[in-house]
Amino acid sequence: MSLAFVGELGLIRGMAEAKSSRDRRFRSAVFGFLLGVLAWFASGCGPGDRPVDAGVRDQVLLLANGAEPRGLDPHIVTGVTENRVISAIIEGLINYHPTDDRLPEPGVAEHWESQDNHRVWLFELREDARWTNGDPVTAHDFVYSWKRMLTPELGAEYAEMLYILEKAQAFHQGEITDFSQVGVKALDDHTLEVTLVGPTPYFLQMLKHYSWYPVHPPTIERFGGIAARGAEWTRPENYVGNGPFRLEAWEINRVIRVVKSDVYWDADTVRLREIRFYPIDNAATEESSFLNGQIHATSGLSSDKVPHYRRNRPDILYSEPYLGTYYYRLNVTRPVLDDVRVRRALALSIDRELIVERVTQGGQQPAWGYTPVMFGDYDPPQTLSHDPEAARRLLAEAGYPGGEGFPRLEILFNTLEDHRKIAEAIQEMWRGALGIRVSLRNQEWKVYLETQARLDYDISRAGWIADYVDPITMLDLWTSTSGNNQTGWASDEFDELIQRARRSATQKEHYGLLRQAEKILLDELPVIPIYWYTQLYLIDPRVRGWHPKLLNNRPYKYLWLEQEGA
Amino acid sequence: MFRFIFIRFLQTIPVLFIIAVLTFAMSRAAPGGPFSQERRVSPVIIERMNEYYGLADPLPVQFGNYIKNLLRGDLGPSYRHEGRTVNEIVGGSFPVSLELGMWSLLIALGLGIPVGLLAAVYRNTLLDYVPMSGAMMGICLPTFVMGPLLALVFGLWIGWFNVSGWHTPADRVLPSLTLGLYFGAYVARLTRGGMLEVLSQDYIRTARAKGVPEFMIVYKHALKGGLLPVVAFLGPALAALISGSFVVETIFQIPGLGRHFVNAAFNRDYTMVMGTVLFYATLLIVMNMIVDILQVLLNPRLKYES
Repeated sequence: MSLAFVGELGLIRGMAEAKSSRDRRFRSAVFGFLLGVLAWFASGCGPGDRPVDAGVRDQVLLLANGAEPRGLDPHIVTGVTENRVISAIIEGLINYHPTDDRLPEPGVAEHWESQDNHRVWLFELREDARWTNGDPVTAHDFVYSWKRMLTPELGAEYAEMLYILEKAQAFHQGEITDFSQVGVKALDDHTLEVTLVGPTPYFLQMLKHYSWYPVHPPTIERFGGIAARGAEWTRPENYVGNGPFRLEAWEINRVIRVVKSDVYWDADTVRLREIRFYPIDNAATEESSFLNGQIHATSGLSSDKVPHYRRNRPDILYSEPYLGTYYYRLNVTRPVLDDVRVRRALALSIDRELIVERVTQGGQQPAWGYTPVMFGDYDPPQTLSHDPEAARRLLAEAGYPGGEGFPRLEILFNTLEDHRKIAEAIQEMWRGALGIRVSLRNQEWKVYLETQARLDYDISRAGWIADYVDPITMLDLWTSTSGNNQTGWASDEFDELIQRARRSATQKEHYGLLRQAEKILLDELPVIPIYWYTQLYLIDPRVRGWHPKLLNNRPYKYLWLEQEGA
Repeated sequence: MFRFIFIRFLQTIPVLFIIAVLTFAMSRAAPGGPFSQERRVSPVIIERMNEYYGLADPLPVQFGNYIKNLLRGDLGPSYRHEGRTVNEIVGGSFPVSLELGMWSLLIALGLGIPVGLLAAVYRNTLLDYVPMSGAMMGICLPTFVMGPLLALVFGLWIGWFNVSGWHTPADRVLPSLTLGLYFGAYVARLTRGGMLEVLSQDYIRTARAKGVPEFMIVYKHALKGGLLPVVAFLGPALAALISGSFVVETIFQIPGLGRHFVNAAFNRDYTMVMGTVLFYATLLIVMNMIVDILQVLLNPRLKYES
């Protein structure tokens, strides 16, 4: 630092004392050097040969990944960013289907059957499934992995997902210590028997989630054992996975590279040679990196850019439904909001069409019910409408005709421009239709989470994305015991219906019970649904095999890159 | 001089300790914790995690443990980057910020000093007005405007450079320019100001009267004194430059220390907050000390005093 500075002084002095001819030579040398550098840049990365072009040639997919993953241990992490990488390097019993998320696609499990009304499941594991170090993937590995998820000392955040296994909850909460009592058994190396607490027709959907993924037991044991968090086994040099790709490099805030695994059982299907995940956490930079030919797809797109691309570049704009709901929580423990008529009035006076068309602009669907209409055969009740007339009547019945005497409520949201715009629109709609005034309050993300959990709010913006493709993952958070409820609302009838839906033997019965539960939710309205999410991003048309997916998961083994017109 | 350095070194210890206490207290006072997230995790699991990371102990005990580890050079595990230590993350990202800082410094000095000199020597001519207006603009134009502007022109339009990443040598150019131009503008103005003051001194008039050629006056007699304000500015500027600029690192997605510095606070990554703050504080103190020494070397009127 100081050296460079002193050097600089020396250079200036030196230049001053130099003879003029030497001076000229020096100057021309510098000039020549600069010219050379420029020429090198110009030749090396001209517009004709961008990283994306080289990628298409060499089957190297370049993806933006939103943020730096917290980690690559499937039993520790909880996010989409992490899942995007992990699902390339580890494979569960069931895979993502290449086109239809409602269908199960065989993964490590080749065949499966269920007995006793979907309560007992038998999985036959394929014999040629291999870990990247060459070991076969066995049923024992799954038993070990699920035991790890449920080991209390590990503190896996998704452990509750596995409570569906018989005795799993008791084991996780330390009531029993003998894991052999838990409902998972390796009958032999390649047969896994799973016993659930009750009939679960949607179990295969759950298995797509990474909390059910296997880990390589000897590797886990080598790096601190079954209860070690943050162990070094996730480093590229130690990582043993069983997916179509293997972890090659992981540089924080730079790139994660995975390359095709030769020992993968279905390696013939895998056409990509490599995938690079760039953790670009700035939306503007992500967009310009895409336009500059550095990545094949962005992880998102800010809503104000959508109209521009829709008009000028529809060929690179990709929009797909995303299985989740954007809604407002109402704190029903607060006066005024404890009156269901007030809650209904608030819900009916929101013009959802206007919000998705003018504010969010990303092709979102107005939510006239709570659960998105994307769960296949599940037909959610949609009892909401835009009816300011009825809303005014309800508010008058509640004792606030024309909004008179209505206290000033507050909308809480985490600091983000998109949330503010929606809140402002709703603020205006409520003022116009009901004559009530609300104020807006934004908070930094973690402060907002805390405020919401403490029920220290009136109305709070929130959203929920399904964990797997079954409506129960959208609905069970409103049970009275759920930590995600955070509205103060509780209904014994609702709890009971969800409980029964969890144990129903057929899908038909399961959906029927959920529908009843959802009706109660929409009658009571502790939440006001606003819209159903869409995923929007930019993607290079040369990426092939890319289909709309409900949960932003990509079956990488079916993707490839191809020159246009080829 | 060694006495001076020794005493300054002793002074840093309480300063760093106070910074550590304040940072620790403030990071813990912020609502939320490293494991709070939208999807509520059962309290049992949160408890397990707090136990695992020693966050269940009373705060003074936690602080004591932290200081104990710190004295052994152990900054603890990061809560955000599962399985990485703060030492490792700082060790991996600081060289990047250092490199970016060095390039930017080179640009800032290489551009700022000559421009400032010219402006001072040709005071109140076009050679003064034009570069100085440019420098004023450079100061006013924040890096979050300059960065995307350079990326747009040299990346998207002309296609010479990548607009993000830190993979090839060419990736160094745009971020270094963004930071370098900004600091260069300051350097130019400070150089000009310092030079003007020195050039009006009696001894310069004497030299002129003796018939010393103008460039000899500037380079030999005036420069050393004229650069004093620049040197004073360089201490904190250097510390800021090489510890990473959050804005520039975010715009160009550079894996440097600056992003960790800011994101750690958002993530409530307590150990990371402590680690980066203490690292930056140490850097700042060392840089200021070096500047103090340099100033005495350059300015005979100053003496080392504790």
